[in-house]
Amino acid sequence: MAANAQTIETVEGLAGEYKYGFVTDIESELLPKGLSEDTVRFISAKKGEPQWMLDWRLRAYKAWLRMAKEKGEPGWAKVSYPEIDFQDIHYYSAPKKKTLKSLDEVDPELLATYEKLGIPLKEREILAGVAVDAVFDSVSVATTFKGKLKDLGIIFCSMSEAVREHPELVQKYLGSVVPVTDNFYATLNSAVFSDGSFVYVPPGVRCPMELSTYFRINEAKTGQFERTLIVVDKGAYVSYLEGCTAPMRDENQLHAAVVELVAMEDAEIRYATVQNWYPGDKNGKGGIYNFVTKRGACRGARSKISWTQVETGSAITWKYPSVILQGDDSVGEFYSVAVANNAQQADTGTKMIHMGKNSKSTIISKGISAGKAQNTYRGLVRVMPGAAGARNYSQCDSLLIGDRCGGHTVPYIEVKNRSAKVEHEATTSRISDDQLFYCRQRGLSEEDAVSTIVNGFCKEVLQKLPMEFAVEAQKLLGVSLEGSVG
Amino acid sequence: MSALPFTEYLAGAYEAAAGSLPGARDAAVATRRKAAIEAFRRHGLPNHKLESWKFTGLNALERQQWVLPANDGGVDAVRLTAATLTIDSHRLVFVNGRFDAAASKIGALPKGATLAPLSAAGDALKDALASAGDDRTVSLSELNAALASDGVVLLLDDGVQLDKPVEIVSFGVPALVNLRHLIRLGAKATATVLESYRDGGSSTSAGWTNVYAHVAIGTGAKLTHIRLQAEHDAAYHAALGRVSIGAGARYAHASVQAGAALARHELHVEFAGGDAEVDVRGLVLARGAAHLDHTLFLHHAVPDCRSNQLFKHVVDDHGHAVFQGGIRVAPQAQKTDAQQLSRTLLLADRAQIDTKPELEILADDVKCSHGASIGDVDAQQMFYMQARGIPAAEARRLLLSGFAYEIVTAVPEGALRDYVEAFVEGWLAKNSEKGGAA
Repeated sequence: MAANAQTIETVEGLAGEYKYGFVTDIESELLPKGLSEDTVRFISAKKGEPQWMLDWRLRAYKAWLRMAKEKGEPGWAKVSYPEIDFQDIHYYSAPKKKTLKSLDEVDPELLATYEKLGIPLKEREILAGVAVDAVFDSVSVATTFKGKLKDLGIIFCSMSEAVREHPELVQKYLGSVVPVTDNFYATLNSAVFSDGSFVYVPPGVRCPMELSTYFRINEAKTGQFERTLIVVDKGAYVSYLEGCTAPMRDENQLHAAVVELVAMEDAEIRYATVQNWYPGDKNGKGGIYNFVTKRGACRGARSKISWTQVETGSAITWKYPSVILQGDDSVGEFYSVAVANNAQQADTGTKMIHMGKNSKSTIISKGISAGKAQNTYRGLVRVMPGAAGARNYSQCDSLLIGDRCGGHTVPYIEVKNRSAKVEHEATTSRISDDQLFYCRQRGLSEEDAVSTIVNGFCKEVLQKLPMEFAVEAQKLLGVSLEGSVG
Repeated sequence: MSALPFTEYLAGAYEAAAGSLPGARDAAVATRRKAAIEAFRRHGLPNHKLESWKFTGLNALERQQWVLPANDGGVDAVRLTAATLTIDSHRLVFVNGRFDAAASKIGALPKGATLAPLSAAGDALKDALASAGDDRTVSLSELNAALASDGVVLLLDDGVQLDKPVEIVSFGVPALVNLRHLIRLGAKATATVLESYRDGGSSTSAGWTNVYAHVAIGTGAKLTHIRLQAEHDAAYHAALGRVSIGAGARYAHASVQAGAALARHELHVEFAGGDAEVDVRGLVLARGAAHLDHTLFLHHAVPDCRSNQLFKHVVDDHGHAVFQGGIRVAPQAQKTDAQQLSRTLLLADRAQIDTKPELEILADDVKCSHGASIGDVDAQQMFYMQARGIPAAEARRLLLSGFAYEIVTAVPEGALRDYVEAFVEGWLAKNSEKGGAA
C-alpha cells in the first residue's frame, strides 16, 4: 500500500491551505481594465519611455492583435482553462509612493507583507548579502546594494530605469532572444510589459552576490507582465534568483512574463526560480495562470546557462526555460522540480537547441502529481546540422501520488548531426511499497516516510540550487509537500 | 499536375472505378465506400499541423496524378521466389492490387478457419471495410476503404491453431494500390502472419501503396505479426493498423522498414482485457533520401497488461527516420507495465532522426519507462574490434548487424527468422560495400 486511501485522505485534508494567502491593502494607481493601443501608450507614457520603446511596444501590440485574430491562444499544451478575456484585465498598477532612498521610506504595510512572506529585506541586506530588487506589483520600490554593484560596473536595476538610463544596452538586447512575435503570450508581454529587472555584467566581472528579485502579484485582477533581461559579457558570471508568492484570490490572474538571458564568450549565468503562486482552491478555483517565456542564448564560445526551477504553485503553469547553444563548447542545463496537487495543471519542460560545435546540455526533470493534478514534461532537444560533437543527456521522472492524477512525458528529440550523442531516459512510478515499508519499519510515520522519499526523488535538482536559495526552496517545497504528499 | 484539387481528383478516380471494385453490386458495401470517399474529401490528407503528423509530410503525394492499377500482367518467377518463404505457407500474392491466384497457394485449412482474398471473402468484406475513424489523422484509411481493391481476410474460430504461417506478399506497381486486411482470432486461437511489401520491378515511376489492417485478437489468443516493407526506392507507402487485444492474449509484432522514398507504418494497439501482453519492435533501415516513419499508439485501457516497445534505426546518406511512440495509461489501468526504448545510429553527416515518445499516464500503480539514444557507431567498440585484427569495414558491419539483431530475434526461430535476417543482412552488406565512413 504505497499511497493508500488514508494517505491520500491526509494529503487532501492538508491541501488547499495556502499559507501565503493574504492581500496587502495599499493604495494603488490602477489603469481601467481593457487593452487597446491607448493602454500601450498609457503604460509607455507613465514610465516616461522614449519614442523607440513606444514604437517597439506598438509593433508588438499590432502583432499580438494579428495573432489573436488568426490563431488565438496556443492550444497544444496539456492544460485546460476557460478562455481568457483580455479586455477584462488591468494592464497597469503601481504603488503610489515612488522615489525611495532607503527602506525607511517604504510603506510599512508593504514591509509587513515581506515580513509575512519570510523575506525580511533588512536582514537579507545584512546577513545574506543579497541585493533584492523587490518588485511589488509593477514598479520597483526598493533596490538595495546598488552602490556596491556599481563599483564593479554591474548594472542591476528595474527595466523602466534601464530603458531610461541605459537605452543603448536595452535597444541592443531586448527582444534579441525572445523576438517580439515569438509566441502569443510573449508578444502580449512585449506590448504591455510593466516592469522587471535588468542586469548587465561587464567583461571579466564575477558578480560577488546572488542577485534576487521577488515578484509579487498584489492588486486584484492585475495582469503581471514582467520583463527581465540579463546580459553577461565576456568571461563574466552572475547568479540570479527569482522567487514568488502571491495572495489568495478568487478570480484567475494572468501572468505572462518574459525572461531573456544573453551569455557572451566564457560567460556564465545561473538562473534559479522558486515559484509558489496561489494554485487555486481544491477544485482549482482561483489561482494564477502562469504563461511564461524564458529563454537564454549562449552567444559566445564556452558560455554556460543554467536554469534551476522549483515549481510548486500556480493553477496553470506553461513554462519552457530554454537555451539556444550558439557558441562552440557552450553548455545548457535545466534542473526542474514541478509539483502539482489538487486541480493544478503544469505543462513544463525545456528546449535545448544545439547549434555550436561540442555544445552540451543536461536536462533533469522531476514531476510530482497528486490529487487530480496533471503534470506534463514537454521538452525538445534539437541538434542542428552544424553542431558536430553535440551531447545531450536527459532524464525526466514522474512520481504519481494517488490514482486520480496524471503524469505525462513528451520529449521531442530531433537530431541532424551524426556525431551528436543524445540520450534520454524517463520513468513513471509511484512510491514503491518497498521504500515505504523500509522507512515505516525504521519508525518514520507514513507522512514523514512519504516526505523523505519525495525529497530524495528531487534531490538531484535541489542540490543545484544556490546556497542562499536552498533554505527557502526547501521550505517552499516542504510547505507544498505538507499539503500534497503528507 | 492535376488541375483539380487532390481530393477531388481521387474522388473522381473512385467514381470511375466504383463499379469494378469488390462488392460493387452489394448496396451496403457501395454505401460504405461512398461514405468513406466523402470522409476523405472532407478531411483531405493529414498535414504537419496535426501533432501525429508533425515529422512526416505527404505533400509529395499531391504532386502526382495517381491512377488506379490496371489489371494486367503478373510477377516474374525469379522475383516471386526471392520475395517468398522457403517453407510451406499459406501464400497470398497481390500484384496490381489484385489477388494473383497463379502465384498464390492456400493450403488445407483446419476446421473453423477462413483465409481468402478480400475480393472473394463474401460477407466479411463489410466487416473489413468498417471505418477506422472519421478523423483527418486517419483519413488515408478512409481513402483505402473507398478504393480497396483487395486484401486478406483471416478468421479463426475459437481454439483454432494455424500451424503454417500466412504469407501476404504485395508487389508495388506504378499506381495507387489500396489493400485492406482483416485478421480476427477467436479465443485461444493462434496464428503467424507475415506481410511483405516488395518492389514490383517496374522501371517507370513508382507507386503508392496504401494499406489498412484491422486486427482483433480474442481472449487468450496469440498472434505473431511480422511486417517487411521493402518497396521501390521511389515508392510511397502508408499503412495504418488497428489492433485490439483480448484478456490474456499475446500480440508480437515486428516491423522492418527498408524501402520506399516515403513510408509510414502507424499502429494503434488497444488492450481490451486484462493480463494481456504486447511486444512491438521496429527496425528502420534508411538509405538515400528515404523518409521512414514508425508511429505507434498503445492504449492501456484496462488493468494488468504489459507492453514492450523496442525501435531501432540505422540511418545513412540523407535518410530521415521518425519514431513516435505514444503510450496512454487510462485511470483504471492499474498494474500496467509499459516499457519503451528507441535507439538510433546515424551513419552519415546528413542523416537525421526525429523521435517523440509520448507518455500519458493517468494511473499511479504503474511501471512505465522510456529511453532514447542517438549517436554514431561507438568509437570504442570499433577500436576494440580493430585492435583484435578485425578490419574496420567488417567491424562496422558486425556492429550494425548486432544492433539490428535485437529486432530480428523477435521473429520466431526457423524459416521466418532466416527470411527476415537474410533481408536485414543483405541490406547491411550493401551498406558496407558502399563503404560508409567508419
